[in-house]
Amino acid sequence: MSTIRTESQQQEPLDLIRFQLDEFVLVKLRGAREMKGRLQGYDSHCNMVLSEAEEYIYSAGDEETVVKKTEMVFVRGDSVILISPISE
Amino acid sequence: MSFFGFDPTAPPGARPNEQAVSHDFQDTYDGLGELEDGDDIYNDETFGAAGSVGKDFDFGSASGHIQPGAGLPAPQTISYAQAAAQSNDDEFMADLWGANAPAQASSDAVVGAVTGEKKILSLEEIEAQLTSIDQQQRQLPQQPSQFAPPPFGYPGMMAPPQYGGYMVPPGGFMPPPPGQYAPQFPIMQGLPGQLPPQLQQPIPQHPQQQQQPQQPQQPQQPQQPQQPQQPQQPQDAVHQKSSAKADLSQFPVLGSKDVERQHQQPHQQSSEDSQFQSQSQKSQQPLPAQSQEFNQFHRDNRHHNHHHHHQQQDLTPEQQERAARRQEKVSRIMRYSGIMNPKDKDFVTRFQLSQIVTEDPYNEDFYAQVYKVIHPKNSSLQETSQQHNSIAQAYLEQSGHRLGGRYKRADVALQRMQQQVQKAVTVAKERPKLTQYAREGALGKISFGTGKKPRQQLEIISKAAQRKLEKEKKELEGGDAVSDELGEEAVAKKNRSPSISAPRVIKKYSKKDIMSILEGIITELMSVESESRTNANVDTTQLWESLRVLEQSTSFGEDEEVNPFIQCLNFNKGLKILSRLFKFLSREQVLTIVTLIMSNLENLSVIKNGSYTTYETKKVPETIVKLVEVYSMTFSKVLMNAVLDFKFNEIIGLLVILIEHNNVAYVSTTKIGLTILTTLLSRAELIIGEGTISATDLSEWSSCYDELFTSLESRIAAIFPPHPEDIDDGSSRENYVWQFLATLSLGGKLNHQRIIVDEVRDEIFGVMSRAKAIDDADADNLYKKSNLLNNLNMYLVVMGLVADETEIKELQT
Repeated sequence: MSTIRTESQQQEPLDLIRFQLDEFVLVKLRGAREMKGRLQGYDSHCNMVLSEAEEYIYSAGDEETVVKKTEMVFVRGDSVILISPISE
Repeated sequence: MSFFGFDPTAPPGARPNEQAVSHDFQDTYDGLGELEDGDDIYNDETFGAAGSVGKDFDFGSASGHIQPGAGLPAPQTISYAQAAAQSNDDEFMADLWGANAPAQASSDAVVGAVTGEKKILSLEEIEAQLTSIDQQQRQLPQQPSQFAPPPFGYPGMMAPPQYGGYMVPPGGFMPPPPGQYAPQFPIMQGLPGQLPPQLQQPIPQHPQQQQQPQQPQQPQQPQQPQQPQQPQQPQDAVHQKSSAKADLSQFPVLGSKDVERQHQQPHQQSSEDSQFQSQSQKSQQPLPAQSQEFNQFHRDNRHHNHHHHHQQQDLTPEQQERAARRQEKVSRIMRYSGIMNPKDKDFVTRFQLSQIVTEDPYNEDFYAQVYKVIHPKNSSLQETSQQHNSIAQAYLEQSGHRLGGRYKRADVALQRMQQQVQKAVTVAKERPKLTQYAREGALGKISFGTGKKPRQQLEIISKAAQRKLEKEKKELEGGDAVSDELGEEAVAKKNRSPSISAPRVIKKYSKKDIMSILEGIITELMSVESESRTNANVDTTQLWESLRVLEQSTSFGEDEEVNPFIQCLNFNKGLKILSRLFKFLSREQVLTIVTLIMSNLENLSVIKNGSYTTYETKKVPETIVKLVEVYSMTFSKVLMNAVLDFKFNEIIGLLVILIEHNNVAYVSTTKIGLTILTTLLSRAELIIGEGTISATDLSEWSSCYDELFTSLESRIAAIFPPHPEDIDDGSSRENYVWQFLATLSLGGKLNHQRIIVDEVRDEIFGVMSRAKAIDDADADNLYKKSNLLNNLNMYLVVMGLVADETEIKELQT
């Protein structure tokens, strides 16, 4: 089974982020952090606005992973490592 | 060819005779320029001496009085550089400014230039000569400084770098010829703001300029009266050269102010006394200063004395401190004032504006525009202060500029921007939309980058696109010779029209594909929306095609591919745009979409996953519940509006399709399924109620209803979820289940109603007992009891019954 090309226009890498607009994404960040949230907006620097966001701060030691919840958060693009959709 | 109609090749001796003829135009001369100009002799250098020269050149209106000497033919061999080097610039300048007897000086200069036949100098030699002259001049007393470069405002004239920072007087009230007032400003910078009136005054000019008061402030005019019309080039060069010379001698070189000061010392000492006197009068008239240095010193002194004044007036320490602070503040502000001349400011403003200006504010600054619509100017105070810059305001509103004169300061700036804005807009509109263009003769391409669209470094065609290009090429070339496999694909591609695809291969939409389609729809929708703001008739065919509603679903055994549009409806954003989308669709298109949805109900995830029956816990998971909520907020409303436009037989058709393509019993166990059924049924019954339905339609309707009822019969109780609290705990005024039953009963005959009552009897009593369970004393929950009963009664009323918490009675009418 092959996937068909659905787009006539040329696709750009950032389109992959565009397709996730209004969907939940996982954003891996520098400093052993991750954010999950609904992608409200982004730009070419991977600055992103997430709603219903949860931030996970991992630590190397025995300490528990810290989870912070935010209604709406701006993630600055320079700390973004990867963005991935969360499969339901 | 000479500018003045003389034959440069003629012997000098013949000149005087000819003059009488050539001086006719003297009458037309406006008399503004008293100068003689020796530069005419270089005309033939510049323009060549070939060709016979007529005398009917009409340069007389602007040209100066022709001196006998001026007309002397220059030897053909003399180079311009040679001539320039020869002429004594200082004398020339003095002559130009009328410091000496003009005629004599000029003829002197010319004679010097003509007679002093030297060998052609090399660049190095000229430089050496210049520097030696400079040094000589440096040794001289202040005298040479009187011969500042003339106020010719050549646009192209570059200010020598050493005083680049001091080009403009503080306050920026005028753009002086570059460099002309330069020496004043190192001092001016320290000038405190306590002398505002003086600052408002033009700085006293040096004597030469005062002698020609008619034109001191318009240096940007290329043609001043003092400047007879003449070849620009030689004149230019002469001035540059002369100014360069004078600069070295009289202008402060950065970092060498001390030297400069020492230079001035004797002069200052001698005139100090008189200055103190004039100082105390605070007179505004230009002082009879002899030189710029004098002026500077004067100003310096004035400043100095001001301090004394204050102190003499017995100010309290507090006041003094305040004054000092103020002074310090002002001087800080003044420090860099005037660094930019108005042209610079214009440039910066234009540059900034060009970043703001947008032709499509609704798209590029959407939220600000919407905010303005929602919050119209509420402060009338503000408005009055803004009236005078309404043009800029209006423009900025249109262009999506948020700052829009919120502060007074911005007001002033806006006022001054008005013209700039208009200019910038026209320029922006005229500007070609190219991102880059290759200029003839330029190495490489020039590309334009803006803040919004940064410069593109590389142009890369994706591999897929390239392959496609190659393939198409091959197709064209090879024709039938293409290999089978390739050919098949190509045929498949050819056959696929934009909206209807007939692919041979089994296709499956990945989630990414769907997302891409969905984003495509949104993009199309937004462009249609923005177009519709300016144009009532918008072409929506592209939007329609992007929906892919007509894309045929293909079924291969178990794997049925669902229409992409239906798949799009499984996402929040797909639902959210529905109401915006339907606005732009024709009635037929809406009907097509609704038909598609009806035939695909079970493929909607709210239906597919929205039934409690599929879950062991008999509970619908949270995510689906949320999606269902979104559906009832968006889809159900859109459908309700759409159905209002449908004709009776269309609604019947929709119902038939729904029944044929879906398991009605299953659909009815979901909230959205029931809501859709309710919508269609109630609309049909309303139309019937209007009484304009033909008999054939009615019979069609009753057969359709029978079919629906048959598929529901014996399963009606199942439409109630096992946990009734989930769907109706009494807190809401609506209960979609009772609504549906009411609608169903309304359309049915008596035997239908009886069957329904039989099947849902348990539920009716269940609601009554739940209502009874709510304590009358519990005031907080009392409303729930009435809500529960009201919802139940909505159904019972259809059959002429009414229930309270204990019994069911016949409705009293």
